[in-house]
Amino acid sequence: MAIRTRFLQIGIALVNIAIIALVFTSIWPFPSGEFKVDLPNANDVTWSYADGNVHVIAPYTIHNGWIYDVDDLVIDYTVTNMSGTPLVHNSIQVGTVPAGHVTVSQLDFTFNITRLYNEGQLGMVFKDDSLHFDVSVSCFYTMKLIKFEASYEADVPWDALIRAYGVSPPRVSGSSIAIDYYIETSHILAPLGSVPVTLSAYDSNGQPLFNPPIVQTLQLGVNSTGTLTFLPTVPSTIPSFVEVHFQVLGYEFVTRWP
Amino acid sequence: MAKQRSRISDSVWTFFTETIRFIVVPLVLIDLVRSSWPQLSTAFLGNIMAYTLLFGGLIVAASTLEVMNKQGTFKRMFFGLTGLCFLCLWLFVVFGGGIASFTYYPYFIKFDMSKIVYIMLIGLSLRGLLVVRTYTDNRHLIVEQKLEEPTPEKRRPAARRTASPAFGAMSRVAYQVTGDDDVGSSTPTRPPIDAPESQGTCPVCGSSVSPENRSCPQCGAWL
Repeated sequence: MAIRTRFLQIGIALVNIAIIALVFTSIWPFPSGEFKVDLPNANDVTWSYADGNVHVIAPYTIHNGWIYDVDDLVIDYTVTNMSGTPLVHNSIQVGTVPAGHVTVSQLDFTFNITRLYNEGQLGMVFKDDSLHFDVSVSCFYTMKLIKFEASYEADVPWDALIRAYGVSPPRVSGSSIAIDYYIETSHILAPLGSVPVTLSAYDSNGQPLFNPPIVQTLQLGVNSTGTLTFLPTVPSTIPSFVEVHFQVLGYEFVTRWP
Repeated sequence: MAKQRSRISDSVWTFFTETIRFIVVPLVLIDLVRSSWPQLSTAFLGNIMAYTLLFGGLIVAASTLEVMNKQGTFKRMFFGLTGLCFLCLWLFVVFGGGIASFTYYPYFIKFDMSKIVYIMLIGLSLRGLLVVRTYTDNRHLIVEQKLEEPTPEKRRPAARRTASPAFGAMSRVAYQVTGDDDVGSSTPTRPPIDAPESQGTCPVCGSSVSPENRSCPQCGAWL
């Protein structure tokens, strides 16, 4: 009878030792850094612009240096602008990260800023904004006994595509009138190089000062200046009111003098 | 008596060690964890000190009462199993139900290891088998001991405690009563009086007296 009790004691002790080992090996990788998720921060985010679409790349790394596989790894991310407009919501099914492996990948998404512009949300085109990244990671660990969830919020500054623009007072140059203008555009437009800008001017009555509109070349990504020179429809008359219309990259905007 | 003392000392020792294990050390560790990671949050962390004291105290009490009773008694098994239940509750509370979150803006991390905690509780519950086993193994000893003990009616100390005179506790010889016919005619037996060793000398004045005399010729003292 005592032997059976002894066996029972030994059995319970073995089970408890196994449980302690399981608990330790399950918890240890988190404080020790054997399991680590490096989510993207603001400095890692790269932007590009093409055809009205903003392309965003944000790298992340998952270290699984311990003895258990990471299962059902899912990365969810949502990006909103300062006004709360959702720009993108996506989910990446990474799946299983085997034990001892390091997974390097990236959040890669685009959003159409022209669509926002056409919907009346002009903020991101003409004003600096802040893109709010909400990234969350969920996975199972230790044979799905532990569920791990991590979320990360980051605000990435967004430079307005067209940061500033304006016109100077009209100058009479002989029989023609010259109007200097400037446009400062975001650096993410720099890869686009030179693009045409269409200019048209109107007087206070809404009558065009010249026809047809003048097309000039504008260097993007820098502070570009130019001069709009035209012969007025009414000779030797300096208009007291000028309204210059710009068309760049499909965006239309107006500036007035005075 | 020696066994009784041994059980008391075991109880005191159990009280001491269980207090260290389930109250003092956990409170120190919890305080250390809270001060090191103030961003950590669990379900019971707000009142974790009170819960640890409560359930730790219950564990200490149950364990002490368990050790105070003999192996094989129902009380020992009862307090053993009760202590085990409190231990499970204590573990569940200390581990916050297995769900912990860590907020360190802009990071938010949440662990759900409740399944691990349930496995730990199952492992702890196995100790209950040992408690029951100890009870069943030693039950017959308690039964045999009870059978060997005298019945309460035959115990003398119970008779002595009565307020009225207890003749049964006295010697029978002292209560031998003569028959009714002998009353008034029988000579009571008295123990023989030893003859004084100073028969030839008066014990009062010290003069020598012949053995036939009943009184001292010198001082008249009765011999």
